Amino acid sequence: MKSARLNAVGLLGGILVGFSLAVLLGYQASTYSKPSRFVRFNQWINPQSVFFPPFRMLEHLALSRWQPGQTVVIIAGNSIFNGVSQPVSEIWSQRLQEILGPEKYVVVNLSFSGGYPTEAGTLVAESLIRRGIPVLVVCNVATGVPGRPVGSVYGYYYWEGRAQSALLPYPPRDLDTELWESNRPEEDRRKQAELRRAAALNKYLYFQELWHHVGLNLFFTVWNFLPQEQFWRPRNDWPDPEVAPKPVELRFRSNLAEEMDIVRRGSREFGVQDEQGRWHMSPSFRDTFASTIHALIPPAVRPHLLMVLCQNAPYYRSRLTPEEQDRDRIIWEATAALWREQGIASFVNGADYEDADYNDRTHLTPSGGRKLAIRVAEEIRRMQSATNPTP
Amino acid sequence: MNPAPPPRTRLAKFLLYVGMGFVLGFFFHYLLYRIYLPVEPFIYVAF
Amino acid sequence: MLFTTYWFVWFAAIFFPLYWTCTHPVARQWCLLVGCTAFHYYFAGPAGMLPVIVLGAVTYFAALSRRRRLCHAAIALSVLALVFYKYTVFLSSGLLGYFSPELGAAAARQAQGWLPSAPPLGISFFVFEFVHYLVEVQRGGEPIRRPMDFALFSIFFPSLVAGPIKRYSQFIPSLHAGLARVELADVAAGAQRVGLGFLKKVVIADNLTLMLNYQEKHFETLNAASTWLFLAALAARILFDFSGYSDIAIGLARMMGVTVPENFRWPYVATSIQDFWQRWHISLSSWIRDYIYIPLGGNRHGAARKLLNGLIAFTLCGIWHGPAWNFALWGLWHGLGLAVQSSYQTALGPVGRAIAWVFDFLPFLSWLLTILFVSFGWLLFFYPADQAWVMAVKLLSFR
Repeated sequence: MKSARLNAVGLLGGILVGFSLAVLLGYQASTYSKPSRFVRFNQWINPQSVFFPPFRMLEHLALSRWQPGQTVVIIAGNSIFNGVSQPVSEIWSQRLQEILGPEKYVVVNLSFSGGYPTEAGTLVAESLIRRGIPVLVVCNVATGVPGRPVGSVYGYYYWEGRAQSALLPYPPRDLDTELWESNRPEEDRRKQAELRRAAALNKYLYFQELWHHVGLNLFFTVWNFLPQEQFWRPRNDWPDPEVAPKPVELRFRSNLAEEMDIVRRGSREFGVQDEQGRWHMSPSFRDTFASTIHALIPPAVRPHLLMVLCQNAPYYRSRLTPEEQDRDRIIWEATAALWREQGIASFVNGADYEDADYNDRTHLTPSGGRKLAIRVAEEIRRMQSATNPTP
Repeated sequence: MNPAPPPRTRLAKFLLYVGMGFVLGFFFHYLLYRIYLPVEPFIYVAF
Repeated sequence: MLFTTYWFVWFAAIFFPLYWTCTHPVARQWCLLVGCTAFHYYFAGPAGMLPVIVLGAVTYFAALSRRRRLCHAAIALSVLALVFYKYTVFLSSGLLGYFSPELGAAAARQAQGWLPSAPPLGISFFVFEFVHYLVEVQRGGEPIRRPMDFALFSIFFPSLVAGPIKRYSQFIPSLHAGLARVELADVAAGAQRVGLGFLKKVVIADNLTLMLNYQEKHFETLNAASTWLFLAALAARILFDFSGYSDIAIGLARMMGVTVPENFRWPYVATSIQDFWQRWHISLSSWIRDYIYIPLGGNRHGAARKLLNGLIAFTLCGIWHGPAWNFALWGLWHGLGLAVQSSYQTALGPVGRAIAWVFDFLPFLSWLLTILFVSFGWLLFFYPADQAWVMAVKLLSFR
């Protein structure tokens, strides 16, 4: 064999071996890789800093502390349940674990800033349900319909979960996704197609798992404005940056008009008045809500879900007119009732909270978090006896 | 005419290529992860 | 970038094994044509393929006829298509709008209504390749007879999007060689080159881009050292980005046994602007030289005409990079630099010769001046002229 040909064989063989070994290491990583000292997805281990925890990492987080006989309690939803405004030592999900106790429950916070109740954590719960593992999911929502599992920055969880056959087969959701995609501009359709292809490749090649593991433990390879010149530092090195909330007298100061508009819209868009002037949920919204839940949440998941409607801070609600306050109360309660009609547990939280329990319009302080944990724990125990009689 | 390299040099060169290939294999795997990330790359393309 | 998509990963995973296993040249060329068409179709869409098909057909038949007028008409059509798709809005708002803002805005609106949101994929490259081909055929070159060869020359996917700009007399024999036989050594060398290209593009250039995009917003607050680092990063970014892309294109072609021209040869070690342009985007600079500068008269009609030809050629080179004034100014900057470099010895007499002697004696100084000139030029390339000016002033104030 000529020398050049021999060297070429060496190089190509080396590529094959190197790539295969990387796949193997990725597979290994998928079975154990998770952020060290994990409490929640803080800014260093979420997409804000170009870190996209893969689906298998979330699955592993949910299962790593689980023992047979326990129920996994997954916290899903957005920054409110992620515990923004609560330092890691005072985060509400830890309080919830303490209240529920370590014997019967494992609480894992898989919520992300800006996340929807149909994304990440809820999809991981589907995977656990498929495996026959007792699971409950606690999500925060507001009024209105929940967003789709695709289309946002966390949309990749849906494609990864689907590619890995981790989700429950549910044709209405597939159809809804297809319909949504077909109505999007060409650029969005291409983006979704790319996510699908990435997920299909990652099912077998484990590149997300290996390189996120490297990013957590050895070095990170993408520049980001948060760490700036220290962008290469492994993400496990960075502590959770959440600080204690500011004094209550300094809160609720900015953008009052915009915030009030958001608070008003939370009920105005869904309510109608009858002849006596009483507020009701609009019938057309009821239909939209029912069809959305039908399209997005498989029936088998619904008994495992707890939707917590997180009310706005009293500072803002007290500035509504009496009529607006009336409407606000009715629509929020009616939305919780709509969730329950769909077979999903739900309650309105925060209606009786004080200003001290909020750091801003929506995010809870440690004191608000403690109240939330107590209320959620009650509900979880109730659901537990209904769904899994012997945890 | 250059004399043929000694066998040890040829082996060393071969192993160097194997090593390079090995690194490339890992790098191609890394690329699959890297191209996923939405990093708004500068695109030098005068269409 | 089209090569950093999962579509391309799937495409490459299917295409290359097929290409290598089709050992018969005819089967292999059909495989390549289908691959190139699929690539073009996916990224450009059916409407985006129309220009290359129409212009390609016109170019092919015009060259085959070898009739001077037909070739001229085909060149004019290609250039007009490029101007139409790429420069109509700029000509309306930038040029017409300079004299009459209302008229310019109205014309730009009208043009945006007609035009697709982006110019057809690769139009800047395939138009230059068609022009080169037609000119060379007129100059006595043998036209491409087989439609298949011409189609592959037109939509060869590795070089479609960002070059290198191919020369048909080199490409066609190389293509035939690749279709006849692919050596394992070519595949290995190509894979190495592709890896190098991705390393430059994805790991280095994209990270620099993220950093630069962020720092640009805070440029006013940067200290002197950081502003100079910013300039260095800007220069490094374009080199690694573009040469990385060229490496990928060259490597992918090599994996098929096909050689396409080199585009970069260590441009930042250049010790003069002329030297820089013999090392930077070589396939473009040689095209500009052969099909603009020399036809304009080159250096054959005296010093003044030579300077003017250089300025025209470089301004057009700048405009080719994008329909905006800053690209034209960047081209002009290099044109002026080259004019000064080629004339100062004569113009300044003994002083000029003394300066030239110093540069010859101290090559480091020549290199430093060249790299500074090129780097300040990148400010014009990337930013509007007024912003580039502010940045340059801050850099030179050392504050």
